[in-house]
Amino acid sequence: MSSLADDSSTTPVAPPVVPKGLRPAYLGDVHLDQLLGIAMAVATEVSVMHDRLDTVARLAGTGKPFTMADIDAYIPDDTVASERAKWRKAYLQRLLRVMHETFSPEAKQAELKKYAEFVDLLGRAD
Amino acid sequence: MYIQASHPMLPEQNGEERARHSFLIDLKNYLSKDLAEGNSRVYEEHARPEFEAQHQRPPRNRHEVAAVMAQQPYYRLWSSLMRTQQELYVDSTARCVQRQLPELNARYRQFAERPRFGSLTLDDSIAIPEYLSEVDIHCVPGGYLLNMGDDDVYAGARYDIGSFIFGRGLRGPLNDARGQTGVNFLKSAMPDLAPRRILDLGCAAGMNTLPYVDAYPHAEVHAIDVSASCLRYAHARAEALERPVHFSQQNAESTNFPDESFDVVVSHILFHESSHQAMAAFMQECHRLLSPGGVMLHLDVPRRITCRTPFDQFMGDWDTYNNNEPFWGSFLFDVDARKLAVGAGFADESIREEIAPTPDGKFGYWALCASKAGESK
Repeated sequence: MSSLADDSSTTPVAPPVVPKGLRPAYLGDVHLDQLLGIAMAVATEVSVMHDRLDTVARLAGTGKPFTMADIDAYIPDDTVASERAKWRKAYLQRLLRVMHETFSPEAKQAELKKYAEFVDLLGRAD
Repeated sequence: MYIQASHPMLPEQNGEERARHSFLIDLKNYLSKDLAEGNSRVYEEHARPEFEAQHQRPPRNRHEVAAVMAQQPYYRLWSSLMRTQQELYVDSTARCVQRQLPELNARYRQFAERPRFGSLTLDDSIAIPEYLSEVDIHCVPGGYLLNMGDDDVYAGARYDIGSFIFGRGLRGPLNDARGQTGVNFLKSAMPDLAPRRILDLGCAAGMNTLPYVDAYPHAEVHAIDVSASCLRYAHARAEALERPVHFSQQNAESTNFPDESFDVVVSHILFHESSHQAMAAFMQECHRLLSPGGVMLHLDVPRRITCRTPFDQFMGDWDTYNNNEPFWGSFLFDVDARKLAVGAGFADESIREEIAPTPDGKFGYWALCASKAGESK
């Protein structure tokens, strides 16, 4: 079994990375669940990258030179933390937009049928 | 931003880790608030009508709701996202601790070699209950019991930062809202209580033990758990925070303390992670350990005894099937804790079972409090 030691050669023993038990299959195919896991890991890292870029922009905004250590040591104050929280909320809304489109599939089917009829009508008009 | 109070044993989170954890907390908030409501709509619009068409009646219990909700694409995608969030934060906190584990273990050694306030007694011959050894609770690989060496504090350290994130920062900067809630409950219900000895069962990393030290400064406080790693961390953490606690590695079902040796016995989220038989054994052990007039107080996740509909109970049961919490649902809905307390010897009229509000009043924990018969000395 793989372990977190993959990241650190200095620790002789490392914890496992997978919990005991079979992971539930949610999306019908285990690969779809795995893909979702990858997508959400990427989404997480995008948010991490956003915060780092935000840090760089704010340090640059002071007009003073700064180093990598300054970026690493930066702690957002309450105002910056609040702005970042607001960004994350909007980001989550964009990221998970499809969840809001799930409802009322019958209504969506009716809309689709109406659209198809409209396209059909256009075709006949030619 | 969600900030945990710093102390010498707390794993340090760098900028990337703080950003990652902030996102994962907000993701959980979004899933459990903004998107969870969609499940109710899916149930009303699709799942329940489908069930009724097939059975000519609505679902009668959470299990029947589960069978029909499992077919709903929205619920399945939401569940997959919830499970993924759990795995991502566990993985991130595990990596955070792992990268600094040698330093954390060294700090533990320093505290353990020269304890100034309390003590630690480990027992590697302890038998680990099957209900703990056979499952990694909360999908944490290795769980509470992972022990990677004589100085290892990994499980305790990961639990401290992990449970802060799992609790979305709502458990206070010292991650001790349950202990604070227990203290508030006792102070309010029994203002004259002056315990000489207090025992915390299943203390894990000891976060919820320390409020009792502050609330009852004249009491000798003991805390037990089966996890050596958690106890090492708990001991070093208590020393770092300058709180006297005597930790020992014991099973709460059967301890080595003499009869009637404590005036107060408490536990926090012990019950819902233990088997039904173990819960009965905890109550019996409490009764044996308490002095006449002594008090036991157990706090746990709010039992959904007030969940009225099968759908609400089904949603409340999510962790049982998706988050490696095998006893969650039965604890919430099936167990008669009061009956177990009576069976252990506590008089029914001494028992209070209610939701105890957290100090900030924003949340509440299930509380079961009972007194042993007799006059306290």
